[in-house]
Amino acid sequence: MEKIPFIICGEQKTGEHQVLEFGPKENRTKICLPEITESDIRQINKSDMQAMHELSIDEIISFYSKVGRLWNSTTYEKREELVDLTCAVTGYSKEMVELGMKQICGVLTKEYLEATVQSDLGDKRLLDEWITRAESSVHCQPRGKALHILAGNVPVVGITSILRGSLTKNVNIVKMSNRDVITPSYFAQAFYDIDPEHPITKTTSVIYWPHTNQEMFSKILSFVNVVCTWGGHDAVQETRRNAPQGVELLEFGPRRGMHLIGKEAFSELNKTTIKAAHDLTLFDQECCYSPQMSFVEGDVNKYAESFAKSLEEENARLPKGYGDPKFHANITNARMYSKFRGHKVHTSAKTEWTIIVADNIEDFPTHPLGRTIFIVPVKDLIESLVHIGPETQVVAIEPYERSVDLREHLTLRGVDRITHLGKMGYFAVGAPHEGMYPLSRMVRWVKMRQ
Amino acid sequence: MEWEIDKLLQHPEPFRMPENEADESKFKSFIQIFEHHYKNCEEYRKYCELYNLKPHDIKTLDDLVKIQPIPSDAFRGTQKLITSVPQDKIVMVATTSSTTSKSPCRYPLDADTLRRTSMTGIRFLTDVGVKDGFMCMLTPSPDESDTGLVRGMNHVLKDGLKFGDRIMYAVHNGNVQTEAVLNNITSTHHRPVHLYGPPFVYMHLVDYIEKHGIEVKLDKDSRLLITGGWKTVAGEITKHELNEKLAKTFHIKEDQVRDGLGLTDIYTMIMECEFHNKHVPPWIHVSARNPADMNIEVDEGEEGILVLMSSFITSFPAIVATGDMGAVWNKKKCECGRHGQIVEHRGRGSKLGARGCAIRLEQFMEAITRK
Repeated sequence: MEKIPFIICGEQKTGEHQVLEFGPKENRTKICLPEITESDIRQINKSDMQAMHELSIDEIISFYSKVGRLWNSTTYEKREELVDLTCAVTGYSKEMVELGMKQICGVLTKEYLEATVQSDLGDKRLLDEWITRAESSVHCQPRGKALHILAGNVPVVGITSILRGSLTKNVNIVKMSNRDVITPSYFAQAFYDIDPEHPITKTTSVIYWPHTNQEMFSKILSFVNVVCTWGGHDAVQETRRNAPQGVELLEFGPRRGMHLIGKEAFSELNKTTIKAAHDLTLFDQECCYSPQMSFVEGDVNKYAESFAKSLEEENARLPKGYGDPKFHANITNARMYSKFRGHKVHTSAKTEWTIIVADNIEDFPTHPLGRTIFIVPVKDLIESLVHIGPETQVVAIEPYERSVDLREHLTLRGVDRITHLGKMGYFAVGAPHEGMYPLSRMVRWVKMRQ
Repeated sequence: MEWEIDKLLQHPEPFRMPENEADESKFKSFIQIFEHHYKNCEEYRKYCELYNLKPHDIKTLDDLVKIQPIPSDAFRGTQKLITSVPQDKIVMVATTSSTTSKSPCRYPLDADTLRRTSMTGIRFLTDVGVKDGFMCMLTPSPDESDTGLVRGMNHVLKDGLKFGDRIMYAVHNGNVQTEAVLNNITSTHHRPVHLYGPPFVYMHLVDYIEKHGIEVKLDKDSRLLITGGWKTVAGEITKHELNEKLAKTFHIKEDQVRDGLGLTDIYTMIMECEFHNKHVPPWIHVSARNPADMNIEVDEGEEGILVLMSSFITSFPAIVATGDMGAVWNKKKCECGRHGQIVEHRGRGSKLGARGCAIRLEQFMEAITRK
């Protein structure tokens, strides 16, 4: 039984109010969480927004850079515990969790954070000063309290959300997902380990309540000014329904990724499929950027065979994590369906990965995720466009030169990001996210006429 | 052609046959039906060939695990029916509901299958204790619903058990006719009175009776059959709690309330015995497969993907995996004295969607208000 603390304005609080269980039934991990009391809610509501406002952006970036160094340090006493518990709770393999840690530490650097603010707001000084723009002096004020409703599927995504809250000088209230009740709690614990008196430490709260607890959700929503909601359709809809008028709502709902493979990619097929396999493997295909379908010019069977080999290799490097039997059942069902329909199905020995090749896109089964890709042969990549809409967040194209001809078509159809094959899970510095610059929406743009 | 299944269906006590006799008869029926589908359904034969499976590979009942199931989604949305009989033999195409797909599964049925469906229906109803009296169906009538649980049950009651006019349907135009139900079940001179329907309609009735302080006393031989559809009331009430409530409200014993498992893809209903175990009749074989490897069965009582096989359906390969999860016991003894497999439904595979007639009923009856 592990007691995971909630963080109430920097203070750790443990308890045995809620018990969550994770993992296989023969080796369950039990996590005890405390109760959120009325007093906790009052304290969170009274978080010192002024102290956050008084921090300079450089102080904020400096603080998070220290957190990054701490988490990157092999001597940090909580690191091993964090990794082990994250594996047990999320089901991800240790290799995957370590990759997630590496991604987080890559984000927690002065260079990355400065570039993020600079590209998102245009000028990082706007957070501290009044900057002349044409006839006005312009300044970015924090909105106040930012609630982050996390999905828990990709650790770095939750951390990014929290960072955005701080980089805009908002007070952060983090609602963990039962998918990952570890990473955000340990992240905030690291604040305390660096400086227990720091305004970021003293204004950050990390809590959890089950989604059925509408009352708690309403109480918290009643005093926040901005909500960043991540996850599935139901979670996002729920927030939209309940958010009071005037609250800035940033939605990061469910999306999917696609691969477009041009015939030129066959000249170095092995390299191509190694990159494609990495995209598919990342976080066991649970991300909004994970590829679910691949449109391939040329010999699809040759491509699928090479892809299968690469997936086997990638699975050895980043093993698939634990999944509930029902997820395995979905994969098995999709395989059986496809075989019955006469599609070509390539599989691992168990349910680690699956490739299904079919001519008719309408004939695929319900997508089971879990490292499954549907491959559709096309004569020209342009044929894929009819199957791509706003539900597709990111498209990876190989060779990348082909993106020049496709980018206008793809983005007009709703795609937000075009990237290199193998890079779907890595965000370029300065890039917008889901069609917006989030920091610019987490501040109030104020002006004074000169 | 002489069908082994027809001999099996003639048995007066199919749930209580000596185990050796039941096993032998079951095996003969299943090997014959598998051969039939293998020979007459081209898609299924090709599918078996992918697994290098031929009828002669099935030598004992234990070999039934080698038979590859078809995911029920494969029956969905196809123009061409998957069938093991010539087109001119198909007398009806049955559909099952879905909450995740607009296309229902389409199952062709021939006259032999329908005849046997009726016989199996009679067998399970009489086994559970519904032989005569009055039946109140807490569902729409067959005129308002084409679901298997409504039409199939109506067919069995009217034609099989000769209930004639001793049936009422409680739902009209999406509304439960609560007062008419209570009036009929308390005033009819046809006894015992039985009820059949999904849990949420039962709960609606109980709420109404409690709210209005009405006294409703059913008979010692009454049966309250629940058709599944527990998803709707998940988190509101457990099976045990509903059983208790129904027993108290209708002044009956708890063992008169029987939960059913509607296996709509193979046109079968499995009802609980008085000890609340769901006994699989010998014309059905249920197998719980390892979710990561369909060629392996999980241990007795362990959760796996349910594979359902019917030996009485000749018109399509009724060897299906519906995405349901469950546990199977092959050797468990029940105090009721019935033999054979026992099955327990453990929910749906996630994201596979909820299927089953009660879910469709629930959509149909959205207008019902449960205060």
